[in-house]
Amino acid sequence: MMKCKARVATVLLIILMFVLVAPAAGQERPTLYWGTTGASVRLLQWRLQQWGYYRGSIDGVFGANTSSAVRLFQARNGVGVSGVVDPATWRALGLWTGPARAAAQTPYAASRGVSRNDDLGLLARVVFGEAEGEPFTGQVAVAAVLLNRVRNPRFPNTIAGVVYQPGAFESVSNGQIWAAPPSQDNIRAAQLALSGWDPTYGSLFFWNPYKPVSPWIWTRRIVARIGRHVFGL
Amino acid sequence: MFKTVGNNRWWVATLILLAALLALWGGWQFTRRSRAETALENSYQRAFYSVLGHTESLEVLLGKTLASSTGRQQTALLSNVWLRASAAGENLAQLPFIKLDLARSHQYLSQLSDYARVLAETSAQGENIKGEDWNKLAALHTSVGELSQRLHDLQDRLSRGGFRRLAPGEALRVPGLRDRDRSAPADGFQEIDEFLQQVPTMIYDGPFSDHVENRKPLGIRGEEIDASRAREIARNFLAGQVPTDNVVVNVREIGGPIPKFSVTFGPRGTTPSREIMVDVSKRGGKVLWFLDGRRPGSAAVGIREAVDRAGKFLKERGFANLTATGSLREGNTLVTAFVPVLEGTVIYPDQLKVRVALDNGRIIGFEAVDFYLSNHDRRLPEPRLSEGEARQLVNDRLQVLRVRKALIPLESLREVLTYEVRARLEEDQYLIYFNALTGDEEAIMQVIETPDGTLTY
Repeated sequence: MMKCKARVATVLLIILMFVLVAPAAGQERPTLYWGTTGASVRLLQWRLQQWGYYRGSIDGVFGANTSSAVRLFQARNGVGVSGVVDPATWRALGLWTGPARAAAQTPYAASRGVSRNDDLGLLARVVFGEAEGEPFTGQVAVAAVLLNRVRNPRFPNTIAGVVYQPGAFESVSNGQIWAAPPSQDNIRAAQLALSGWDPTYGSLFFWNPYKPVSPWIWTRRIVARIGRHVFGL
Repeated sequence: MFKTVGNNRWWVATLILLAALLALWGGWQFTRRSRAETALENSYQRAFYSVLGHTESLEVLLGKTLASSTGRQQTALLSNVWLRASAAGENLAQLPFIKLDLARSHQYLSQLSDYARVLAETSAQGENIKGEDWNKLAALHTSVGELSQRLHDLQDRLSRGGFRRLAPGEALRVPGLRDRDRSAPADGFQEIDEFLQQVPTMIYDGPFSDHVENRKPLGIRGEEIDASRAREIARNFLAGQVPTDNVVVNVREIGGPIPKFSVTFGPRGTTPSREIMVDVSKRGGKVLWFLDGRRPGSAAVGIREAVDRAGKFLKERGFANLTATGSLREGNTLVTAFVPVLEGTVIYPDQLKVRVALDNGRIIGFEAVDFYLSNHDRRLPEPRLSEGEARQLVNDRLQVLRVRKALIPLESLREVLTYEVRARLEEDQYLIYFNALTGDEEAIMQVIETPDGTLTY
């Protein structure tokens, strides 16, 4: 009987704690700034004190001490330093109760699907296939030619379109680009080209003059020579 | 005796078994190959039929645009033209021609797509398409119709043999091809490309317009220099950044849109991949870019210090009033972009980039081609909007973080004076550009924070 009561008490305590700490999940926390008062401010002060950012009393008034503690917390935790406790700050404090990512206010969710890595990986593979063993600048130049093609109306306008254009690159046709993973140098060269380095002044073609190439290619205007490659428009 | 016969029997049985296995294996290989070939042929056919389908729709859509009398309807139609032409171009690029230069066909579709987009933006303001633009569209309607017709002719010929029947050298090498099979599709596409050569060039306010390609460097002025002067300029530019025991390997003069001397330094006793290349313009002797192939060791210099060093490097080389616009960490290097500030306005077209090695804080890369292409004496127009008025224009769901004046290049290279508004939508940041003369929203960039730095899209 005693045991049973104890269990009920534990359950009650848990429910109570849940209610106290997380009132009605889904309901958002208010944005706090200098001058606001109330229970939310008390909660904020309590957490900041717990984590060693706040030394004042837990009085539920957002004043100078609270503000500087918030700023310090924001600066140390990569949240924009504004002194305002917004959803991002609540989230960093681990006290956010709204939906996981989007604020309850608007249906807008933070973007997270964009990265440069997909382009980078493909570009680095072509650099590996076409310019392995070339000087670093020559590798950047090959990546730059691909990007120049993307920007040019006469070629496809995506990196994948340019890379996989049938017959455009020998190393893509014979599978060389998949023979081994690109080296760190290949990746750095691709990164530099994506950052806007173009040692080829907008070239659309490159070829190795010591290998048999289509005579047509020599009608191109040569604008750069790097390593064993010639670059032309 | 008996034993020998037994041995012979075993031999025969083994041989028969081997032959049977070989035949099975061969058959299996043959099926696999023909399946692979068919899969390839099918994907080529799919690409071809997509080109055809989209081209047909293009003719209809352009016709409807010409017949429509409201800007609202035209915007919808032109947006569709934009998408269709771009899809047609994408599929055209997947057709297996090597020797055949379909560049002109592709350019035609890209420009059509791009032009439709630019027109759609105009007509979205309620303006009806008229005058010169109407005539241009009518001409495009005619040429697209012709293109579609020719593709139909090709379709007949293609249905007979498919892309497998292309002669070697014209298409991807498909096994089992003989020269007498050389035939229709390639010739047909050649004719189409030749026909499109006759379509007049397109000059309009978009990135694929013909004028963008034939760009002249505005920032390259002054006397011509010779090779030994170029070598000296390159050496001075690198002073303090690259070890002094470097020897000049080569100075080469190269033409192109910006004639220049290409100076190559090689440190004694190292591999060619460690070469340092510097390009110096022939006219005016400006350093256009340099790159050091060195791989920096583990980082010892902080990001802020690296940016400061990059700024100092530029200042020492005569670039004044610059502001850093963003940095990106790539391994143990940091690339920082700088732009000049003129009368409180950020001049984005004149961008400079500096690459700092994070192990010793030395500069291992510099890029100024964009800068010299666009830099010139500018007279900025007087804004007709105040900063406060620009703030009023911002979508009120956004929280404005900062406003400043900025000169930005549009895709057509036309420069416009804008207010740059940095604003936040929940956790995402955006840069929004409002024309300072008209209040038009000219461009929007999304700022993407990554662990390595900030990207804008």
